[in-house]
Amino acid sequence: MDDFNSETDSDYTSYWRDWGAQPPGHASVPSKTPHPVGSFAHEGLYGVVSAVESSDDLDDLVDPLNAGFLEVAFNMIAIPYLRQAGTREAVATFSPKAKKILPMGFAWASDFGTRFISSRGNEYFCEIDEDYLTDRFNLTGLNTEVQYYQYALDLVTDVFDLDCDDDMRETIEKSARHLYGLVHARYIVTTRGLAKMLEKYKKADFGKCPRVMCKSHPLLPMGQSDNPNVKAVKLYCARCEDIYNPKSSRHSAIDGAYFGTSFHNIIFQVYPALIPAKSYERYSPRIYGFKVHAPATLIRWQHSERDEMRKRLRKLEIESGFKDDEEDVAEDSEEEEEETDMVLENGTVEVGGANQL
Amino acid sequence: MSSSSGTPESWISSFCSLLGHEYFAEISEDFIEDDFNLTGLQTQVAMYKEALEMILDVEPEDEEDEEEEEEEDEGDESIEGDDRANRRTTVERRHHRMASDLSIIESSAEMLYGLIHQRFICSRAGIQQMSEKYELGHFGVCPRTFCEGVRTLPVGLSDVPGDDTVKLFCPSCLDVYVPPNSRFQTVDGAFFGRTFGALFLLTFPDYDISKKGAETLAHGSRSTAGGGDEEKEKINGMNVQNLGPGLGRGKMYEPKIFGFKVSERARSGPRMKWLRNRPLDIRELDEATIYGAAEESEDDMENNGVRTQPRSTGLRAQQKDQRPNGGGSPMSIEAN
Repeated sequence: MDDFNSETDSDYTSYWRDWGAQPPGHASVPSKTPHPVGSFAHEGLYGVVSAVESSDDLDDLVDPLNAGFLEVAFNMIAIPYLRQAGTREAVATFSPKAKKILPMGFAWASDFGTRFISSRGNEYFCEIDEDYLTDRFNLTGLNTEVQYYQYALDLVTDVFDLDCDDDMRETIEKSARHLYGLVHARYIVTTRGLAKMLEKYKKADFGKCPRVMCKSHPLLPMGQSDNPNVKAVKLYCARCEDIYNPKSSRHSAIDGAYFGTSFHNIIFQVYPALIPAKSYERYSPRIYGFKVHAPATLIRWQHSERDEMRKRLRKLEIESGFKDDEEDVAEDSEEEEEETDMVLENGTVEVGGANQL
Repeated sequence: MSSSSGTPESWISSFCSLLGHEYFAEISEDFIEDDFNLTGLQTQVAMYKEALEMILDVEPEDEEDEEEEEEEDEGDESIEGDDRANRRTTVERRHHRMASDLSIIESSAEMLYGLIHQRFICSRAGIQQMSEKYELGHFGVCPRTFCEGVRTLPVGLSDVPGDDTVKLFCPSCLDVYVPPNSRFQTVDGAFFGRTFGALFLLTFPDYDISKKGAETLAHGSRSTAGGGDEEKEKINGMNVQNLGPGLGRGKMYEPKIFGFKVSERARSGPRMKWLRNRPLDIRELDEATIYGAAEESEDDMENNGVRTQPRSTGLRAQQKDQRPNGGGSPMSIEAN
């Protein structure tokens, strides 16, 4: 690190500026020999990046010791490099894994959107188009919601160049994240945003439904309120039409308002083909194969509610969307009989097992 | 397995402390030693006898010196086995454990333990142990948002091993969920069985199942059940407040777009509300009493179908008298 200090600042930054401005294959300054410190920094950066990449467990890297090392490395090497060269392209030269780690160390190093998306815990977000972000109309009303709105917006749109101390930087960072989240809630209900979220949905980036009968149906993020700081993000399953808490604590810290209350319903209106077939399948508590009276009565009541709904829909000639639409109602009684048969069978089978009480 | 602390850990406790085996209760040896409890398992488990011996930490022929060594490290078993073979004079020793056998026996022992476990947790001692684990929240919480983190119970969807992995039953919404941690995806559901979840609810009717996992449990003793009848009211053998407390109005998700409810008539409209619904007046479900009320008052015959009719307090009291035990399971025991 002493090597750095011995160099003059201008040499150092100018190297990076030139290096960064240089598109690969561009030959206007080919004669410029890399500065010794520059090459060290260059290798150093890639050393860090390759260390990041070669590590199998991402968690290793976020432990305090490693994080400290990385922070030094980033401050000394990556930030100057990326501040100059730092565009989407620069970040794109790293592997996805490295990208995941890189953003944690530095503030202005790269494109805010990319960095935000790729940091840990932000897997639920999609990248907002720059056009959308720069259109003031889309940001209507957010200036009252976000502290240091202008700086935050500058940061989000990568035109931030204010010299300030770390605390201030941190505050603005936070505001920028908040702003990004709020714009995100608006963006994902636009055509482009829906398409982006659809891709993520198809990849099950938001996780899978924990309900056994939903058979790992992919989830969608949603908020229970459109106002920030009310409730954390929840996950909606279109198959059972219920909402679940995210498994991971880093996801449950995300504000639900960054997704809003409407998005997951709109996406199914826009893409009706995505609506999953609903199913009658459900769990029914049993003891040695016999249904338990109290839950069974409740379940019977729920089924009568369901059948009423289906009747209502049939009257209006609306498709109810259940998997086995036609046969089901007719088969219901038959099914019930079959079930009792099965229960009896199981009952006798398990009497042997029941005796140990 | 750390057995340096003098008393070696038994196979059972080391099995239960393995990663992913957090849901298992420790079966008491008495239970295993009673052959009656093992009826029918011989045919289900390969190398049954050896597996059983492994579970009980019994060395068939010479118990005095080898017992501790075996527990210390099973890897040493092959050498030890050879040693023994040299020393041994009894020719027809069935339990000559070679290293290759050992892994088979180990897996049969796990299977056997699981199958006994399925029976054990439905026994008085077992369900008691499971209730302690439940109280401590060992089985995790319901992922459903409106269940607000109530504790779950491990269940299987089948009693036959190899069908499905262990699931979590939420008594609050009466549904089953996949455990959040993938390490439980190697645990067979049959080791818990279909019966345990429901039997637990009937055995401990006084548990307030809507309590969150984080909170500690304070349960009302049964002797006071006569006094506070309003909260101890029972329907169909279960306490009213334990009958799907996570369901019904206010606990159902209502899809909205920009604040407007999505209509049932829309193609993407709600279709699964019934799954999380519950009658506004839960007494509607007390079919027997409703029927009884209708029979009793001949004038109300034509109102038979009206189910929302509230029951008179006199009737409710009568119902109480009929079921002094609260209609719980005959094997109901005091929670704690």
